[in-house]
Amino acid sequence: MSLSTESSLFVGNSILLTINMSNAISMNWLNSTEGESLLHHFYNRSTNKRRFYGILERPPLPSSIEEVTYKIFIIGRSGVGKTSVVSRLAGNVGYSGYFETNGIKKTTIYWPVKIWDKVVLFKLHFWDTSENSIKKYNHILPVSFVILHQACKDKVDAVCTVFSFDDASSFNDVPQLMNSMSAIAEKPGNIVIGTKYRAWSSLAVTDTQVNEFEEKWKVKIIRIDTHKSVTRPEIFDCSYQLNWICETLWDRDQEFISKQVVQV
Amino acid sequence: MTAHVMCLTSSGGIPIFARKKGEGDMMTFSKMASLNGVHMFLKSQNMELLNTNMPDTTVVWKEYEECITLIAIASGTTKRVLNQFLDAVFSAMILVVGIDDIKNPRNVERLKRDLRICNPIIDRLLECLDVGDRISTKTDLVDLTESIMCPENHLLQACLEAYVECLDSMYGCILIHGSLSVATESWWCLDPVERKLLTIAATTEDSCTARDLPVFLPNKSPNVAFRLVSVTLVNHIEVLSLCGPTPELSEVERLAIQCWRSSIDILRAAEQSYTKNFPFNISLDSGILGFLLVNYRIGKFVLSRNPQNTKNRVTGTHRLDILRTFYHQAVETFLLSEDIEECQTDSTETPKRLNQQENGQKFEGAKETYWCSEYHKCHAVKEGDQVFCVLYSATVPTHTMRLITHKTLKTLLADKQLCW
Repeated sequence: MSLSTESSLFVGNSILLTINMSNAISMNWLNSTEGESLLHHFYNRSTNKRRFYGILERPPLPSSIEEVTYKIFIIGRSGVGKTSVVSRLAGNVGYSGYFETNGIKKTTIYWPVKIWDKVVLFKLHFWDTSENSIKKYNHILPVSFVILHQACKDKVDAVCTVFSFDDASSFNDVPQLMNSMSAIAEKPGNIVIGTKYRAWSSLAVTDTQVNEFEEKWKVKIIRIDTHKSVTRPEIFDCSYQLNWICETLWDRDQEFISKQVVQV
Repeated sequence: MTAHVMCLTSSGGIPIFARKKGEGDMMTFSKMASLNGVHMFLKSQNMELLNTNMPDTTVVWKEYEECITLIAIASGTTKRVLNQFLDAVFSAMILVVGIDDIKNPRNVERLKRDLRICNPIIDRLLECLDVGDRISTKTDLVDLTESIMCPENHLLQACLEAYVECLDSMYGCILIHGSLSVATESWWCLDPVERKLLTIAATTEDSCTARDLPVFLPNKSPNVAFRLVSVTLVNHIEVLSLCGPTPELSEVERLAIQCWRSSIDILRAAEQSYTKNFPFNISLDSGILGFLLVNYRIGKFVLSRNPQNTKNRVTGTHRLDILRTFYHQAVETFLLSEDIEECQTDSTETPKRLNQQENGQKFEGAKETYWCSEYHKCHAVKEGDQVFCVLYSATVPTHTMRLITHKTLKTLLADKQLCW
């Protein structure tokens, strides 16, 4: 027990040392007075549920708040929990059973973030699909296959690779999956999420492996436990993960802008 | 109180899947093998085993396309419902993989894997069975489309027509909390089971913004797939459509925003009708606890509870379960018995069965039926294509039930804006 405590503390330190992020995003902002004052647009305290917005709606925030849109394409081995990661980030708590995803599923999550001194509303489009159903589309709808496959990857801002802490082979697949997406013209950012993470218990993927990976690929691994039951509003339990995703997207943009400036 | 359904290959008896509802363990392999064995043995003797009755449980066997055997075991429900249920399960299998892969599977393991995506659909069909467990959150019927009567329906209909035209499609409908508000004419021409399965397929998972999934239509197009595209317009309201290879999902979304942008207030107002499922300006008699209105010719229903009686001891969902039981046990037996016989004599033409009995010579079933129990009374009346079942509190005198039922039905049907 005590061993794992130490190692996870070590992980906490090593993140700061190895990954060079801009730290532009205030991680605990949601708990601040300003964050709390906007919370009701995203979380309904009376029903204890996240607010969900259809395509005709958006959170009724003051117009002074800037909105930025990103498209994130989810990849990962079948069964690791891609759908449940998106579902958890969208605010659904509790295990609803494993069902294979059929077709393409798009989920939009609105997330407010404090960057330096400014509040920015992130509109994150998560595209979730299964390799099987893409193959099936190919088989049954040959004409549209190319279009559909492009539709998923077209103008992608980030590729989110999901693996499971329960399954070492799904973790070993991650570099290969990341490489398979590097051919996309837009040079999408990389996000890596590990699901089924349980603190204080032995996992198939160890913290040492995670550290090595982060060191080698300069990518932070975001840990999620989608089945965790929570006593406080669920939104606080995934704010860290969502903030990290936004940070990755933001840094990619900043890098892009700075390169443009240099070229000029 | 449990319900099981299992699927095996007819030739080899290889189990393909098994699902269950309620408490108890999964069906063991040996039990499955025995159940299949009886059916197979009788088949070799040129006999077809249809069903068997135990004191509180019914088993139904059915073979499809001479390649798949489905077996259902359930307590508390009728054989008619179980037969419909098995038909729906087989249709769900066609919906996800198409008839060709079922008839000529390249290998069984692959078919098994491909059929895994219909598990959530089959689970939802199991929820439609009336096994008296009282845990289901929604009362649903296997072969009927669950609908909602919003006063805004006539406005939504016009928007929907314009939207499907933009998509170059003919099939579209709007779901409010999973219940159908309006649909295009072509959507209503789909088989009731097709409509049911499409609705389920689009709503099996948690809320998402847009979905695009390949579907085969069990009756209309079992060989060629369509795309079922659903878009969430405002929270809890989705618009569904069946498309060909184009337009792609992002384009569908763009068109949806364009077509529906100006109707956002109408959509939000329509959402307010949910849980009551009929307009606020219609008030029900205080003796009414809830009602079930079925159009059995088109195959749709509205289920509602009277908001005036929410303080009643019996909980809302339980109440609606009583109406479902009454519908299956009494209404289908006495009021719709004629249709059942038709359906059994020529099962090949099930979708058209109801249109065929136009000659007024035959006995058309009873016009009214009722139940009286300690706490409730149920009364049903058949008028034209409608069957209207009402749940009353026990204090309502038996002879006044029919008066109230007729009056209420008249009020509901008089409102043309509901597009019923």
